[in-house]
Amino acid sequence: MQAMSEYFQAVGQAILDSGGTIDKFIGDAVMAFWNAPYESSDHVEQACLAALRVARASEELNARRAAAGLPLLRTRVGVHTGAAVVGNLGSADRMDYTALGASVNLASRLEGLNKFYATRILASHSVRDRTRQEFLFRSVDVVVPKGTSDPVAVFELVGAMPASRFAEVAAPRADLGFCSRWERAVTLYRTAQWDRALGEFTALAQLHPDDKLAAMYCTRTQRLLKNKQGRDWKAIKRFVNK
Amino acid sequence: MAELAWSDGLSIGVAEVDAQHKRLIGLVNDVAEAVRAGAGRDIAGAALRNLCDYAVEHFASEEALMDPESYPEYDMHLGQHMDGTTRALDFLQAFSQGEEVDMAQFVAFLSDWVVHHVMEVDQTLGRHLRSRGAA
Repeated sequence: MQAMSEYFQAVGQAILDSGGTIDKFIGDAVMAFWNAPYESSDHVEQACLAALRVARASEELNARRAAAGLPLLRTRVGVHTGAAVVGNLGSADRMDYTALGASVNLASRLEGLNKFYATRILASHSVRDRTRQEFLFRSVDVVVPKGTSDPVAVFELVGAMPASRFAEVAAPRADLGFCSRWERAVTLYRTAQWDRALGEFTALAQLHPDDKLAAMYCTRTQRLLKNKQGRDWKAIKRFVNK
Repeated sequence: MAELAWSDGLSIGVAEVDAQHKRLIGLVNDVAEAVRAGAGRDIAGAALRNLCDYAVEHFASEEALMDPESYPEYDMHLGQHMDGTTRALDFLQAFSQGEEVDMAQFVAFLSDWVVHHVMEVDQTLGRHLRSRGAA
């Protein structure tokens, strides 16, 4: 219980410091939104900043827990931007200021997908589109999350761009080179050039041996190469679980 | 839209990169021509794949010439490479899913991007390499 309080304190503070509105705590999860009740023109950037601050706070907390011999707590974040219904919802004796809608569900699905991809922060295409000048992303996959029918492109939020105004959560400069090469590998993969894609993913996995996503793409590409998948193949992953 | 053309003024002083730029301009013209001629999805798609393929190789060559510590425009330059790659990926994805895509709009993006890339961004790399006596 004390562990959860400490965890919620660290995560909640990171969200509040980034202008977020905490909606609720659900089990071990936190739901927050931006741009309400007060409008903010850079609310998508603020949400990305909060996600990176949450990840950092969680790492700091885990460093203390590791030193005390306690089990580590994995933090996963999903970020999406879109229309939602926001307001006081409930009955006369119990009201909640909350957000509802398909956008909220997608953010939650993205949070869950981190487990599959072994990533920390997953963001939707619309988040990446709005913030790519200031934040560094890498393509993760094109997915059809449970309960939806349209494929959506999913990205990992790596950090802020080194020269952006969010220096405190900036990605190391070396990550720029890694991510640029990563996008090239994904381009080869999505255009069904398995030999070249495998060569690139293998090199990337060697650069970052702890990167499970690179290892996953090596395995996938090897399998596609073995099965001699042709160009009619589609790079879409369907999920039946949350 | 006018066809893009190479001129010696665009040289960055590295023969390998100059040759790639000429090819890149040729490939953008191929995509533009396929779209202008009203070619079917297969032909336009093939031209698009060729272009993406070549851009991948070209970006890798350029990034191999860059030293992140000494090249002052490193962040901006890699940001531009990633932007070009991800926009192309977005488009390829929509195209392969059979969505209605505005090819003319994408060709306009490609042309602007290549012109900006060759005429402005890569000139900064050329100046940097020359100042270090590498080109």
